[in-house]
Amino acid sequence: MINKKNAQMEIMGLLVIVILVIVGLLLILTFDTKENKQKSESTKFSYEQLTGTFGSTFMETTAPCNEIMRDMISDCAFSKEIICEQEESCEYITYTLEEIANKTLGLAGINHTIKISSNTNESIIIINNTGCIEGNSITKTTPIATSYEPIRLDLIICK
Amino acid sequence: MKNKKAQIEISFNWIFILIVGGAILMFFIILSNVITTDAEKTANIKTTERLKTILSAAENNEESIKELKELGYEATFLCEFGQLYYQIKDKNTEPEIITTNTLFVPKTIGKSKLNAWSTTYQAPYDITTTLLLTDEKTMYLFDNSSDSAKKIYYAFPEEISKELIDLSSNKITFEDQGHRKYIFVTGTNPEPQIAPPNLKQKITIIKIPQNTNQGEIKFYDYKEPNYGELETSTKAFTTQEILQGAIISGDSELYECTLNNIHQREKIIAQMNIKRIELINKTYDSRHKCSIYFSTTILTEPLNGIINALENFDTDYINHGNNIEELNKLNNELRRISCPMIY
Amino acid sequence: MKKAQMQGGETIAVMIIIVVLIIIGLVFGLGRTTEKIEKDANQIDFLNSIRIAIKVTNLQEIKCSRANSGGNTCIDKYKVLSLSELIKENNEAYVIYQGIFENTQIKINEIYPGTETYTIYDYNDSINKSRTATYVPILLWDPIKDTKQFGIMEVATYN
Repeated sequence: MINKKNAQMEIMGLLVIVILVIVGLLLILTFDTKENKQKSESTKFSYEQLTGTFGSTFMETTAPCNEIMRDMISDCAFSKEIICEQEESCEYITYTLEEIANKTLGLAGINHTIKISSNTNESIIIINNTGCIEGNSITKTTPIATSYEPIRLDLIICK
Repeated sequence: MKNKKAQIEISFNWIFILIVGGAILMFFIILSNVITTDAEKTANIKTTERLKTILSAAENNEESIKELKELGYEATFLCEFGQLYYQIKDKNTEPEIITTNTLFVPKTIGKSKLNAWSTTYQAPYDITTTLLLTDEKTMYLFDNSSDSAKKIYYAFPEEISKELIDLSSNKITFEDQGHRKYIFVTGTNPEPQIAPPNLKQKITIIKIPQNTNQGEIKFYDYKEPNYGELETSTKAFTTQEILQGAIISGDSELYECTLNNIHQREKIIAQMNIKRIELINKTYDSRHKCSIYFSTTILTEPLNGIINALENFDTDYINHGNNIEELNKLNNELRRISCPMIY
Repeated sequence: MKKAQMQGGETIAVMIIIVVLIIIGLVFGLGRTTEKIEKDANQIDFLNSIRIAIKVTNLQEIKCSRANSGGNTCIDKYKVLSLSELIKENNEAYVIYQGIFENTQIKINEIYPGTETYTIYDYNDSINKSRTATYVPILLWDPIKDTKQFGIMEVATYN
């Protein structure tokens, strides 16, 4: 009887050790499944660079008709006098902005909406790539000073 | 019979315990060794990367001074085959190359707060950001009786350990405040036996000219093994930024190492600008008002002059300075007549 | 006798299990250590690529003249052309820039208007195939026409 109990105790002891080791291994494995954080740091930097300066870089770009985009946006919002490559400023900017955004943000897989607005006109130009769900986006704003009133270019990026 | 069995069982158990215990002990000894080596490697990697990150971050800041956290190790810098290397003091690690080729630094820094001061070297266009790295334990002492030394004293940021002292009697009398290195900056030739004997190995004296934009710097050191007489080394400089770099470094070899790398870059940029002039010339119609500058040697002559002067900078620094001036004038002229400028 | 044999068998079984557990632990521990060193090396790679990308975007030699730069990353087209030519033709220049750019490929892509691509520097090592790229919007300035194109600077680090 006592021997039986002893044998049982021994086996229990062994079992405890094996269980402890397995639990320990499982714990270590769970910590090991962290995502490769380092790779995402590089992607994050690239993303910040691309989205952070997109608006300001676009503003200073010169169209083939030698007009600066900033001036054409102002013209689209207020005076509508500039014609570039046989198109009015609003059409030209919409087309150009879409093209540039697709070739840069689109290729990098950044879903976006671009909105140009002023205090009196909420939607001077809107370019919707795939649309963002309300509340699930980040907005990068580039202000534009004009002789009429300030305009802003909002780059709305889907999270 | 049963007794014998029990005895055998006991001794067998003991053997079993010894073997298993021994195996477990071996396992943990091996594991701890691996962890220690790994930890050392990680520490070295981290220190290396930390210094690289410090250098990069500071390098990309224009005209600023940054106080950095303490570097836990002492790092020694040396120049090998025209490249700057650093080594962690008292560790058995290979010297690491510094990829920032424009670093002015004393021979040893560390175990104290670092100061990273970045300035832009222009000749006359931006060549590179120079990084002047020093620490709290390096003290810069400027001669109050020398105008040029005082000018540099006031140009040095407050964060750097600096003082104005009186060297008019040509004798260094001050108390060792526990710094690792003392760099004296003066406008006069120091006497050979200027320093107290116990401080000779900690001292470097730098003589600078009246003109802080161009001239020759003399480094005076008490060299090993006896730290007897002062030994001199003369190097040239152009621009105050480079002079400041020489003072921060306090070492003629390290200064020359960095300056040569800067000059290499300057040469390449000059060659690039010559190519650019040629490319622009191809695009211009000969009747264009700007073509006179790009189709003749008006712009390329001073650029070639800079390249030639850099070949023998220590003797040709005056030519170097003159060509820079000329290029500056031409650039202003190009701006005035709305032609593409050089910079 | 049987009892003794059973006990002996039991003891041997215990010993085998413990030895097996120790071996598993050792193998696992050593594996983890190697993995950790690899992770550290990867982290250094990614930090390096960010470090070089920042260096390139601040490169003095290709920046626009101060009068024309504005607040954005403005790059002189003719400086880009001459620098890339110089690095290709001049070995000394290649070696100097190899020290600055290390194991990267640096390209300027015209986005609008234009579609040209200029390779400033390429680390000539055919063994390294995989790359991590960072994209930075830039203004590519033509000093003769005084126009600015929207461009992307691509800094790809070979892994």
